[in-house]
Amino acid sequence: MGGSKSIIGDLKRLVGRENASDSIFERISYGQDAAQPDLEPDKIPVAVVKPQSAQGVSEVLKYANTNKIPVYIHGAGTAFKGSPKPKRPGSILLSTQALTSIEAHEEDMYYELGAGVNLYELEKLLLSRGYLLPMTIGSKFSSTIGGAVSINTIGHMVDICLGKIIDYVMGVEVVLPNGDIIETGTRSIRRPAGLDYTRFFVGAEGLFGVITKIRLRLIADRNKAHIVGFFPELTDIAHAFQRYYREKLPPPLYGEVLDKVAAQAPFKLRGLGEPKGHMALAITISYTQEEADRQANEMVRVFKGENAIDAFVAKSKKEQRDYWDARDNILNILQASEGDERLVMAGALEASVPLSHLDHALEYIQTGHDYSALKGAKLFIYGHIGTCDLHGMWVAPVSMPQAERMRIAKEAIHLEGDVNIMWGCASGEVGQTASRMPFFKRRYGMAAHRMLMNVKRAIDPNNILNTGNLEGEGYE
Amino acid sequence: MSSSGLEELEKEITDNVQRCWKCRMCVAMCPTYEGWFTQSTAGRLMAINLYIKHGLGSEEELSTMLYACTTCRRCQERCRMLSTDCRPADTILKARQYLVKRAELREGKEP
Repeated sequence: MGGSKSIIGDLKRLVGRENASDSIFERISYGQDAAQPDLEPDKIPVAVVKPQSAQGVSEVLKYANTNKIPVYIHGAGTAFKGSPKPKRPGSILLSTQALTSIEAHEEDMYYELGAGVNLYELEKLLLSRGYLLPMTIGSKFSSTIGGAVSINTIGHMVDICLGKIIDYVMGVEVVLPNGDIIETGTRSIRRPAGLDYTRFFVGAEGLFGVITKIRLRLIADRNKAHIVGFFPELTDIAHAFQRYYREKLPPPLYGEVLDKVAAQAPFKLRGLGEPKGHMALAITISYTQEEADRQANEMVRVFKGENAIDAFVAKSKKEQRDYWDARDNILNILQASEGDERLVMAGALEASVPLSHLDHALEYIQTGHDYSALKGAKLFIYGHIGTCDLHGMWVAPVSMPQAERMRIAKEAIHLEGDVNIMWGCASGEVGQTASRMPFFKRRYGMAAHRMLMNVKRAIDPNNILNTGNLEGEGYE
Repeated sequence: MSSSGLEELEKEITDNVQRCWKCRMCVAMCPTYEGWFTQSTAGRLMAINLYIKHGLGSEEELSTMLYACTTCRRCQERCRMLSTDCRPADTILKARQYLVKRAELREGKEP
């Protein structure tokens, strides 16, 4: 195999000159995700390619497989757990963002979507046709359906309300590491019984193939009601959701939490004044507005029964949007400072817990652990409490030395693993490979990891796809 | 501008860039974006940082990228409403200023 010049020349011949780049700025921009730390110099990919078709993806993979070149797969690059970052030198970064085809098959209740279709544009399109996109991703303005399906996420939504995205993926078109293009699944709303190898790829984080097309089942939009509550303690919000489910009430579409300090900047930005307490938000859905409202009133009753300072159904569209945006645009919380004291994210946690331990987990994340760097940093808590998924963001002044920030980042990763292990869970919003592999081994054991490595070897014998992610390289 | 003035400008620019979370919410809506990151605000901010902090890339390539920005400031408003308010359009303008001042210093035009 020749050097990087030969690789870029070959790739330009395969996908077209305008669809491959060796600009240092492009290679690093694509090689980064939203995660810290920055890309290591020796891991900068040699080229970025954006094939315009599944056939183009196939050509690149055939070439990489023959020459044993690692290939890292990108949707929009909004991941923040390190999965799309190159782990080995001399790699190709393949973006599926140019695959933006949309075929409507409303008579058969599905859309066939190129992996690069933007989630925000898709959501607008589906709403205009009376359908609901069964996922809400914080980065939707940029991220793609291919990225979301490859990690099987529904973002902020409550899993037990509508299900996970796999429940809506009727099939996928995938390019295998050897360049073969295959189709999985069905065109019927009747899902295959037995072996449905769509599941090999949805949630596989690009380890076994590159998803190029998704057949997404349609779901009719529903009526919604918005509930807002303010509480003196975060654990009161945990108790409210525990009680709501204990009373066998229908799961809401969203159940969100935002701590009082974190809420201050987003509230100010939207003219909502000072938060009265820690905020809980929920959205109920139903086929009729009356039923959505009935569930919302039940939620208000439960909130008030669990110590809420205030709880109400938000009626006006503006009020609904402002409270939702204050929670949804979580990066707004980093606006709470100026000058050298500007805040930047230093560490992040996303952990899921059993319903009965929601309150214990909140206490543990705040004060129960022994990580000294985390205890010295400012913590914001938010997350999807209605689906038992909690986030912590530790922030630091922009002036804090990188080494200290790194210590916070590492301790946050350890704490995330501890919380998941303590109660036998596995997070649930962002992918599991790369930075989470040490946790995976602790949680499921080396035998489970060996099994996954064997599956990977069987499908990708030259280990070209997202190489090093399953090995946990860079996060040992 | 003295070399210490240039350093202050460097610090201001890189502090702003550091505040960028690389959420990429400013990518698809950038009027100059045609599919490559460096045709968008987020890509430009990353390039500025790579050039100033790590000495990567060429001044010519960076300059072309920065002057392709229309300064419509849509990214700045989006960043303020949806993200960290890292003032991306201001930062791009500061980076243009930085390149000019650097060239002036190099050519001895500065007092």
